[in-house]
Amino acid sequence: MSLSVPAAPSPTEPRGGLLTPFNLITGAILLGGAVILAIRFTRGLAATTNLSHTNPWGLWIGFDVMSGVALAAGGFVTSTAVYLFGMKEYKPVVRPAILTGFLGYFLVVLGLLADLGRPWRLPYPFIRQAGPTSPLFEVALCVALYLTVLFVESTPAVLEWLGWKRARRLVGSMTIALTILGLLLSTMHQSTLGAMFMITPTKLHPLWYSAHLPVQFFVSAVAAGISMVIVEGMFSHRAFHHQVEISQDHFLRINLGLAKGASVVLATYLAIKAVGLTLEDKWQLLGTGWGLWYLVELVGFVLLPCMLFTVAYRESRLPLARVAAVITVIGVVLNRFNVSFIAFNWKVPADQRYVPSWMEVWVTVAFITFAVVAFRWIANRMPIMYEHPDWKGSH
Amino acid sequence: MVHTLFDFLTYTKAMAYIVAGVLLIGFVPFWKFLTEREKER
Repeated sequence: MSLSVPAAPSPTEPRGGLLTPFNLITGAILLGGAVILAIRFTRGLAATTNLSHTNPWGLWIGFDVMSGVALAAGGFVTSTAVYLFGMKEYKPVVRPAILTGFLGYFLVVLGLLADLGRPWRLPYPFIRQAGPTSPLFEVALCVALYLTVLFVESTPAVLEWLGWKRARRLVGSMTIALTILGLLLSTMHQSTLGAMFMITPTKLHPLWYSAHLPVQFFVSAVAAGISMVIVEGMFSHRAFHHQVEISQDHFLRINLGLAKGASVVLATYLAIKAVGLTLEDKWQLLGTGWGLWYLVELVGFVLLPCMLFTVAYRESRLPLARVAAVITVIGVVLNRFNVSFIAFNWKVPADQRYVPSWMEVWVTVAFITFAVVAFRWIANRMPIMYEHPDWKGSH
Repeated sequence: MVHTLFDFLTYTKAMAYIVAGVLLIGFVPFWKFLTEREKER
């Protein structure tokens, strides 16, 4: 069954009133976030967060940066599959995935600006103190460069919308180079986010601390990226159904293919974890309280979705693949939380443990809301969910 | 009994070889189960 090809929505087309339930709720969340950020930038981190010298990294790093980067991996995963591996069947999900990736990385920078004690020093690694031996420097460099790559990769939709054909052709000719650069930069900084924690063998619980953290972070990011594409497709296919021009059958094949990929990646991740536990002789730690928590993460949020993805692909059950994708996304966020603040400082007395303040949670929700609103605004106007009639079949 | 770093590395590496072997062998039925119905489509 093939759905009808939609006309490109006009940018001037009225889209309902301002006072819709969606606008009111998101507006309230964003307004609250703006007020908290104003307090944070005028009265400091102590006025809005529960961060301390003992716990300098909290929710804004654990979610906005660590999880945000992992969940935005769908951009490089899908563009690599389509443009480098020639899996053209997945092309309809590339643009939404790249836009999600761009917004995700944009939020990483916003999160960093909120979290850094002196945010105006964000460009210092590039202009003042490079510190090229530091993993953090590599993360800073790669994130800055990859955000630029994602921005350029997102511009074809904008240029098609504006009708700037010459610029669109120029950007289109750079697709392969940008994809290779994106893959290279992503491989580097996704793994280096894990490598950063290798400086903390006495602070991070031994079950999470590993010499294999970089590999574990990269592989789990690939699983998170694939799962996010499925989750994002679940919402956007419904919200923008009037724009979607691929058949239901094609959409099902794409999602099942992603489920197959995710099942193999999660199985690989489990194998890497098992070999890591063996090489570092840590199996006996699974019998402790922290071991139970580790098993919750590994069994509930890795093994379970791996099995669900496998059955979903085998039996062509899209709802099951979506459930597995949601569990995987939650699992990767839980893993980043564990590494960055739950299992971090695990020896610290309970009264000194970090628990995010409500304002930190609100700002994080506001950042996510901002991304959703921006995605919706762009996808309502630009050719994200469909191919522009003038550029069908081009990169 | 592990007494030295050399003992530890020998022991853990030997165990890792066994675990990796089991995982590699286990991947075959996993892949078969995953792709078994592809031909029917």
